[in-house]
Amino acid sequence: MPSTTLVVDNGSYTIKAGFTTDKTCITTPNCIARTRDKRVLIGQQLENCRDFGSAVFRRPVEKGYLVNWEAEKEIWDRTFLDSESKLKCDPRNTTLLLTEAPNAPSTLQTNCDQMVFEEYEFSAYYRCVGPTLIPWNNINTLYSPENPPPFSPPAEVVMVIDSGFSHTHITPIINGQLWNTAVRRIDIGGKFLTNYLKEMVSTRTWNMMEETYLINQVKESVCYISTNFNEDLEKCHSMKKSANDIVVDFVLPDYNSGKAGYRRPHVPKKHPAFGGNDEQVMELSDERFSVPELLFTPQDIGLAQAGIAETVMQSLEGVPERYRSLLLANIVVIGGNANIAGFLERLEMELRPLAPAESVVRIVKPDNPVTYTWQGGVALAGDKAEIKRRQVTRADYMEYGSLWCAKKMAGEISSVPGTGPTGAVEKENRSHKKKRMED
Amino acid sequence: MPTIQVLPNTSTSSGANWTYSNLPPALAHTNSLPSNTARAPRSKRANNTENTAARQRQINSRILDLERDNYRDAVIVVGKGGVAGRSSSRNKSQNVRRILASQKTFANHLADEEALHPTPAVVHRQRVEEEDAMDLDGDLKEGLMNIQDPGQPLGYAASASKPSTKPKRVFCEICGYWGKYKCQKCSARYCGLQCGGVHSETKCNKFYA
Repeated sequence: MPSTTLVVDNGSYTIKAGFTTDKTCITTPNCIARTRDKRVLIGQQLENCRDFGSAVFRRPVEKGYLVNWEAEKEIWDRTFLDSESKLKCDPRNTTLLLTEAPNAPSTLQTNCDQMVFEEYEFSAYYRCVGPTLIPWNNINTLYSPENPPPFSPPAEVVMVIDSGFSHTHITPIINGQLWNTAVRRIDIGGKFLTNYLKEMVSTRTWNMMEETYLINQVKESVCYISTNFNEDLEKCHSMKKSANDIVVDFVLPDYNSGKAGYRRPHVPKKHPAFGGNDEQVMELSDERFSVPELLFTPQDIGLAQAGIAETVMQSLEGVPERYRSLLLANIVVIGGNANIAGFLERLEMELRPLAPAESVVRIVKPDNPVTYTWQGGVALAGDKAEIKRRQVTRADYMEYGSLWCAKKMAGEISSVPGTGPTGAVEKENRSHKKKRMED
Repeated sequence: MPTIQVLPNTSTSSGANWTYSNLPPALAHTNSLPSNTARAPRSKRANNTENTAARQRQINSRILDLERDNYRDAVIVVGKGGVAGRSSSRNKSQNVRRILASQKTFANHLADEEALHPTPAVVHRQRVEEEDAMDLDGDLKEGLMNIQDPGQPLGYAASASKPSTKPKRVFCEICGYWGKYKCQKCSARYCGLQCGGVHSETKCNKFYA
């Protein structure tokens, strides 16, 4: 029996990973970067870099799905196998709990299983859709922090809105099970917003087309979601900048002296551009709210998809009627975009008129929406019987093959072959065994 | 009910009194309007560039641009030199070697997946059957709505959100305010004379062309 369990939420922007024993989540950038001085930085090394000017990135997770194992292996090796790393583990003695995005192509799932067992040789492994881990958290403490009602995991009904780096998923989870027919996706995520802001700023003030990293910082520090878009837009257009409280300055980083960029209240320019003070300032006004606005109105840039609130209603059409009110009353927002100020207020404002009048709309955001899935994974791994029922051990994988493994992960098979009416699996086993003998 | 939508194509340019048709000659006249009315003056013609295929291509390529990781294509080579505590010369299984050498992108995998499991059509057929069943019998409808089964994953394409019912808002391409006016040449939006001037000087017909 393996002694440790490693929970890995393998996102497209960061890997959220940690052991169940010490309950600390370590966030590692899930990318490989090359800076302008031609250094290649992998995973955790990015944290120590000061100068991201004109840096280029390579991300193994594309659109939320783990596609490029060549790059991912570099990052995983450094994160989980390097003796310097805090997450160093012995895979042969570790159970791995790994997340994936909903509706992943089956070839990618199989690739993932094969890498985990054949390259890393983890002793046991469970792969699941990220949001299905949320009901294992005590969500009652989010709705009533003072006096939470007793909670026994998994939570019965949760509507998870996962707004991450590559896209936004609406995932209803009923009795701990993902309601597959009601999962909906909007192709707007953090990366899209960053690129949109980059394009907007480059048209208006500074050319930032190469500065993805910087603009991501700008987005995180200044953007907010407006609850009154029209009024805010009018305000930015008609009022003077000095009187307008929406306008802020972002002082651009000075790479020569190593100063980081920061946000400050707007200061009107007194001196001409080449005055005594050589700091460079980016003024932001309506960019602050018209960028994250895309999450709620993707049609504005011509994307033929609905915003989050409307998509929630589309998703509800796919679940049985008696669950709909329950789902509306148990909405949890996770993912990096949930940190944008005003997200919850706007969502509630848009969802309330769309929802049936008699149902309650309750929307919450955990303290750390980025690591909340990981926390759920730790809670699930804490339930030894449950994780044992779901996991696939390496011995089983070597015996029954990857097709069987994929079916077990999808919940189609609950026991080892031979006990159920699974002729196809038997056949697959035989061919697999034969292949192994040839090897 | 099947929904019928007129998709933009290259021949939807209004004002022209002729059009290409790929129908057999005998039927060609049903496709469009070989009317003998005089061509309307330029000012009276509706500016229909908003819905043309070219415009749609512009929008699609812009969306693709916004999903990119880097402004320019960059190749970052990795895999030189192993990690401490791990021998790189270890025997790798055939599967691992295949996966590591694979240069497939997500689009490739998606195309493979759709060739293997053409889910959208299946889902569509199921939906049509369900709707038919609902029309037949009220009780049956009740039964269908209470299905306990969460079903199989829909697949990537079928799980995308459907288009919004709200109208598209338009913004000035230059300053971000409401885009009240439309450029005659490229149908980009701008808010007033000043931004219109900037647009025609710097961005008109060049951007994304």
